Amino acid sequence: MIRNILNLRYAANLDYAHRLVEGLDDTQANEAPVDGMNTPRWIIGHLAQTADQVGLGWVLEMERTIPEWDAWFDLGTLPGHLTADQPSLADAIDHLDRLHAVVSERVLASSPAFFERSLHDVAPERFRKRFPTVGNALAHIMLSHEMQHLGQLSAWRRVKGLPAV
Amino acid sequence: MAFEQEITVYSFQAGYAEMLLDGLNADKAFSLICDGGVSPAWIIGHLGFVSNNVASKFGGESKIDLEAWGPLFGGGSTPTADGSGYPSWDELLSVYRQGHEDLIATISGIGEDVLKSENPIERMRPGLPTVQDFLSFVATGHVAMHLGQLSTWRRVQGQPPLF
Repeated sequence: MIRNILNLRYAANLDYAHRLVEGLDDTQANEAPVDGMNTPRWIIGHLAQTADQVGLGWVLEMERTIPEWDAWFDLGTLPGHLTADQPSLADAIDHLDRLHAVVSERVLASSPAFFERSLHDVAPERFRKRFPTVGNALAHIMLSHEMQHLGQLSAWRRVKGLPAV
Repeated sequence: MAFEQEITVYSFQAGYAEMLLDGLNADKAFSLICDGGVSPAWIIGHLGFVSNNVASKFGGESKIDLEAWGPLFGGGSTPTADGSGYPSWDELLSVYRQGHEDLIATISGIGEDVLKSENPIERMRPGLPTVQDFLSFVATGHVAMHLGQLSTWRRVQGQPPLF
């Protein structure tokens, strides 16, 4: 049952992400209406980086595909430090699409027992304490973490005077 | 236990919410993020309302007057910066926190037959067709989205990132 929920909501998150950034230009993608606010480019880049680092690397025990993104989009990085030669919003949404497909395929192909397994040691101890099983960790990154940042993006749109989606 | 994965996430989010709420008092709680946007009071009131509404629909008991809270905090309600028409900030926090316990108690005890039945909220059925889909979303993505709004409200207030 958890497989179906994860897949259903994960796909809905991705659809929501696309609708939130549709039509934003490069200037808007990098704009923080207030100092310290996360920008659309950073938020979508962070979601792609999380799907890669946490989803593929820590939880699903797969080879990571964009580890270099940690330097720009990991927890603790700042939107204002991104430079023009680093991934754009368009790059980020493309990678988010790709990584969603990889994670979803793996989740749907997994047996129920897989979700009960303990996380392996690649995941940092603090993360394993909060989300001890594969199922806990997937529920966090697929159901909750993405929506938290998309909530930030929704609020960013309101502050910018853009319509709700 | 039903919703074991979701309850783990829900509990984590409750801790995150307390970090976001740390130091936030009644003087600021009703201020809107921007014209037409949300306030901490609306977010916390909305989450408390939803927890109680869910409890009342699925075998539990609401601790608030849902008829009175619905127009203030139900989906589609419009937040205002005038706190005089709302419950106090302390009451909102109390209802929100109590709602955590009530929601966990409610959803963890629901039987398989109910979980597989049709979502009673018709407008949400296209995306959340069953009770299980609906309650999973209530405990995870719905809370997360509103905490993301609260996070952005903090930033607009000039407060630093928590992480």
